[in-house]
Amino acid sequence: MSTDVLEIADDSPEAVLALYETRGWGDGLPMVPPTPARVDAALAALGDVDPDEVIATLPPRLGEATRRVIAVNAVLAGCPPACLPVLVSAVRALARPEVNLRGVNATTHPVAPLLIVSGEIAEQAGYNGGLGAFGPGNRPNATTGRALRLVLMHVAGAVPGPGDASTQGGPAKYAYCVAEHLAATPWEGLAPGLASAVTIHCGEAPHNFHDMESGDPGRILDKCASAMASLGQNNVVIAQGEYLVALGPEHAATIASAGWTTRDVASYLFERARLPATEIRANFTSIAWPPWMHAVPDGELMPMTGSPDNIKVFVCGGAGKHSSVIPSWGMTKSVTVPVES
Amino acid sequence: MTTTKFVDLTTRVAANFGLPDCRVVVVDHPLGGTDESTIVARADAAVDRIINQYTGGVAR
Amino acid sequence: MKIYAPDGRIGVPPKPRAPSPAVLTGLRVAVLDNGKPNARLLLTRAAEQLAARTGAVVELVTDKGPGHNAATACSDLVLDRITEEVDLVLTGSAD
Repeated sequence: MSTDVLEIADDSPEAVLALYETRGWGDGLPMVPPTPARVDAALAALGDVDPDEVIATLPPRLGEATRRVIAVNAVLAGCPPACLPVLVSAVRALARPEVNLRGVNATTHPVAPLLIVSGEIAEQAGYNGGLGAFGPGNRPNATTGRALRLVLMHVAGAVPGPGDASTQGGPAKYAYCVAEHLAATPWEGLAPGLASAVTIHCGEAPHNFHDMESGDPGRILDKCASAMASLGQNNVVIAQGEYLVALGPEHAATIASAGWTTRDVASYLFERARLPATEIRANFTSIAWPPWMHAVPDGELMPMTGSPDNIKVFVCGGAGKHSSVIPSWGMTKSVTVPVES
Repeated sequence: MTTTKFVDLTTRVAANFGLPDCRVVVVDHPLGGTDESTIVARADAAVDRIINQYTGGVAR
Repeated sequence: MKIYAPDGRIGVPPKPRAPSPAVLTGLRVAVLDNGKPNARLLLTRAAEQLAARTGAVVELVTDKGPGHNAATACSDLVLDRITEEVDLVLTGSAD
């Protein structure tokens, strides 16, 4: 067994917090004591698998995330055992090279991995993709998001200072987990063909946009495009950067009823979310663009990302005409993986 | 080379990647948004310590 | 009572650093620009002054390679070139 066992006087949250603080562990909130009994109960949700198999090696600390270590962090966060398959899959996704976790953890930007749960597991484990999906109030969302952050802090070493250089940090670094509202999705969703899946997207906190008046997809999405077209986001100078558009169900229904697909949404936003090339060049010298973007003349409008393929769309939320857009950190790609069964 | 505000991150990451004895020279923070003459002065002031690091010294 | 530690073990063993040369005269120096603002200026100036003081030669000033920048690791192409062409590397890790 590769996981260290510590002696503690009692299993009160105060005792755990005190012990962990001396070792530089924890996110500042109270934690559930990860006793062997609780960890074993969490591991049982994964079925007959090797608890000490290394699922991923996470930078910058290069700690080995075994199922047991992941379960320890799940218990700490208050995660119900039924959420373990989601958490393990999320850790597996984080280690994919296109995520660039080393950069995500070490950057001065406030980037945090958003964990999106899709499919049967969302319903079975009780994740919320409806009203108030980004929180608060739902235990699976809150604790799975928190557990993923604890894995990042403890195993990956993404501790402010020695492993996380984020200038201001951010609230999304505490817990950032949501379910995809497939029942309200007029399209095929983020994980077509998968019964249950996890998507990881490393970006900022959501930026709201609202439109309470339009029956016209273009007018709704123009508000999104306006929120995207900002000099303040990394995407403006990093062509591979993605945008994740989280449409509320009512906006999604309006857009779909006009015959638009998610590809149409992405293409429209790619065309409409633009800034004058002159303005971008005047504000930045460090720019990661492909040659064709460098060739866009001054005076022309520049897209905020290099391709419509970099604009992803999913549906979450409840009643109301609000949606949001999540700019990425830039040098990272979202990934979708099946949930371990 | 690193700056005063990133010493901990630099040394920790180097150690994590298997180089606990990585040669590190520290200059004042920040570098971004600092004028050219100040950057040049910081580079010049670091040369002795760089030579010392390369030839076996430890002063940062 | 017992509880688990949450951090897991680290799988990378430490490596010894390369031995230090007694003198730098004649050695070839590379500057690896990490892509952050002013990094190339700082590193190149320091390398040039080091060369002037010691008789080393600044052989190569490079970025991390096509498609790589401050947010990514250096390309294998550039690492291979550095390994083959120089004796010392000056690079940066900061803002």
